[in-house]
Amino acid sequence: MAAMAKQNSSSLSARFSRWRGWVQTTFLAVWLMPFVKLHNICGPVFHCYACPLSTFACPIGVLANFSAIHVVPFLALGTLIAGGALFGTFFCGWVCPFGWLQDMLAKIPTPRFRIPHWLGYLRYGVLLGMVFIIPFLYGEGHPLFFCRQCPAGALEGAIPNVVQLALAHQPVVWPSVSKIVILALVLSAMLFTQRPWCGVFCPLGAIYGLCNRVSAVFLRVNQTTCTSCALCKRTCRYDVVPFESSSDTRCNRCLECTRCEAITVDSILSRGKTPSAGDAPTAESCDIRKS
Amino acid sequence: MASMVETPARGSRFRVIAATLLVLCAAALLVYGAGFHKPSVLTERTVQEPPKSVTPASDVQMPGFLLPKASKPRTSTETVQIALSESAMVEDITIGGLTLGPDGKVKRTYSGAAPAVACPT
Repeated sequence: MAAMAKQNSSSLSARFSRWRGWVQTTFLAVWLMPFVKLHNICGPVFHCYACPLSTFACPIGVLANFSAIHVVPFLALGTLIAGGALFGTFFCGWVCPFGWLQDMLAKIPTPRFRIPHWLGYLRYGVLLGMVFIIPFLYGEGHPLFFCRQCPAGALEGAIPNVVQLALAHQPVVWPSVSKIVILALVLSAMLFTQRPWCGVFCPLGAIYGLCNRVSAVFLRVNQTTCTSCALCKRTCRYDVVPFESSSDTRCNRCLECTRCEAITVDSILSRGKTPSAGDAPTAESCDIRKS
Repeated sequence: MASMVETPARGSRFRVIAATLLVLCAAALLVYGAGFHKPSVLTERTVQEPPKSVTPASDVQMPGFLLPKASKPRTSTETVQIALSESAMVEDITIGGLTLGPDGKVKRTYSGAAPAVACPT
């Protein structure tokens, strides 16, 4: 009965989560301003600055390029650490334009497959290898330099630029084949699994995911009201078990799990009554974990 | 209700401290990057050499004789080292405007006004 009551209950964050698609779409207007170019400022989301409409500079592109010229990117690092420390992967779930694209494609009714957990560690390999180490050692000319293979760059920068040049009857500069192949593969994967780019490759998601554990705004599991009904687990599309780890690095903070009243959005500024045993319930209180 | 306390839990206390430290660290990075970090960048500058002046042999000009025309001002490029703010470097990066030279110094790939070409990749 308690579980039924929780399913029927609807917290503020759960009601807000139904508007997530609209919030993401609204933020597109921030990232895609045709007449505003603030390319000297790093944005907090994954969006290629080669896009003709881009407003801000892509933080991952800046990190990779600064690594290639052996200069420490204080502004990009500051932006990412500030964003991660404050909101964690809320940026991925609510603000990122590439995440929005994946969520839109996820609305197409196709069979969905789960991504194995271990593939999530590839993100850290991409971050360390393609964003920091390879650019630092071999420069921007190396084929594994992140921007040379980035599907967001292909979709938002390379293809629009090819179209622009063709329409202007100028010689077309074709993007590399590998970049287009990777884009095609990622777009195809979006049709058959939830956010494949975020879950497996996104270096920005890797940074924000790590920050989930310490972010100022976070998901709290109230163990006194959690009955281990696993509603949160069933609603999560990213294979996260919120009542076990509400600060999982794979969590996109889409807030679908807050349909259960035991999970709420909280912040370090709230000084109200908090559970005394941390965010997660104990193993003894979770029947589902035992089974 | 007995398990509810008024103070944040131990895990939450760690979160408060860690988030606060990270935000302060980020603020310091942003302030330093925006205000004080100005790496040296080599850039080419176009220099206009003054035209060679043509002085007549004397103040009195012989009628019927034309003085030679003054030569056109010549331009040349010279490489200078400038301190570029980090935000300007970020903007240059977005157009593929900075590269690392073989001597290990950062160089601008263009001179004069920034090209409209976007990312070279």
